Amino acid sequence: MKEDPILSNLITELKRGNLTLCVLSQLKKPQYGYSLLQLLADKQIPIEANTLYPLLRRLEVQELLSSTWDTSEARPRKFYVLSDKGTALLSELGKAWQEHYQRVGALLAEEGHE
Amino acid sequence: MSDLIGRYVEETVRHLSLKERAELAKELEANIQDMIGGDDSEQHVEQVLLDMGSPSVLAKQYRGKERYLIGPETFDFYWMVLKLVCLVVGIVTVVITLISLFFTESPVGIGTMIAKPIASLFSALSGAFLWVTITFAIMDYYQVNATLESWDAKALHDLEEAPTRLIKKSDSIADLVGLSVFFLLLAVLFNRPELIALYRKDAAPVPLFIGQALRPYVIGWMATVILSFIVSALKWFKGKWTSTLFVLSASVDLLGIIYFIFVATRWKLYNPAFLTIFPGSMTRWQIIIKAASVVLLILTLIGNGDDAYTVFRRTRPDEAGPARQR
Repeated sequence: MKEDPILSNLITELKRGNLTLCVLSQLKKPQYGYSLLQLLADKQIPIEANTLYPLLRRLEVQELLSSTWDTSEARPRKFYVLSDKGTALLSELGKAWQEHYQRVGALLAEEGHE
Repeated sequence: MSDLIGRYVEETVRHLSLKERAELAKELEANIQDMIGGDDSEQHVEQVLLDMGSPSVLAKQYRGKERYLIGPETFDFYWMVLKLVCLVVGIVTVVITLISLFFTESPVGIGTMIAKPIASLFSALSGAFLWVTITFAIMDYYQVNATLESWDAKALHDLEEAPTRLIKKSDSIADLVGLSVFFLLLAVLFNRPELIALYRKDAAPVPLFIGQALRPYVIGWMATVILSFIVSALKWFKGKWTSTLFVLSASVDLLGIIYFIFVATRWKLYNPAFLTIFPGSMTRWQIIIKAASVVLLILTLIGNGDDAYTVFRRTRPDEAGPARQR
């Protein structure tokens, strides 16, 4: 089937809205950029590198993530992990998403929808 | 290969703020190295960097916000102001240049006649463009937003009334252009009062005014024109009548006409030689001036009355209406 550009646009938009939530949820343990990229891809949440890296940086500036440089390996890596503020925010954001997901689900479950 | 990565990283962080650069470059390079993994063949490195997207797009993502000299919210207003300022400045400059060429001492060739106005027009327009743009860029930089106003219940109700009390942009612009030209004429009058004269064949022109006596009055007149100009600009900016605006507008109109009558009835300003030629005598001249004053005053009052009607016809019944919340 030929991909409908309107549909694919909307799907992209839909996913983009949840991106921050996905990223925060995977940072209870420290990750560096590329490991997080792979982790998310393994869990069926593929994200572009050029979206993820700037996003991590912004979340750090917003103090939701804290970072440390690990120089013990051959290659230095910057590890990100949720800050206290980030942890609190993740829990709130997660709740909000659950509620919203249920409401949208209820809408779609109404008669006349598949 | 690492050279290609280095260049890519350098090109990306070049667009970012100085204090972030070193840190971001180090991190970005580490991430790219991770993505490349063990396979550092040229083909693979190329592929990874191509997938990362162009450095300027990536840098934009890092900044997280667009940067504008003049943002999309202010752009329309900026464009409007720019057009008006250029129009007024352009007309005034060309007229001034032509007049100054016309009255210059030495003879002027046709080339100068064409080249000089174009040159001064170009320099005046560049200046106008520069200053308007700088003003708006500074406003944008400091997030001064002239167009966004508070949105509350009062603003909502004002919306409903607005269409009946709109001030036409074209009217305000015509006012501004007219006032600029008038100001220019006053400037000429100040510098060369003898130009307003009776020109006859085979005789020296007879000036209407006694120049030295007129000058101080012209300065006061220029001040009233500047006041009118400010109020017109305000009307143009607001775009609709408010009672305060009406009071201001009516005040400057009346001030202007009263000042005109005041100057016109200073009989010692007129050159007796002129009056004996044109109306024949001082007495006749006084009658003409007084009649003209009355007509002008009545016209001004009619204009103000018309404005008053526009401003107050809708608000009065509303204020009397009990149901209306304001």
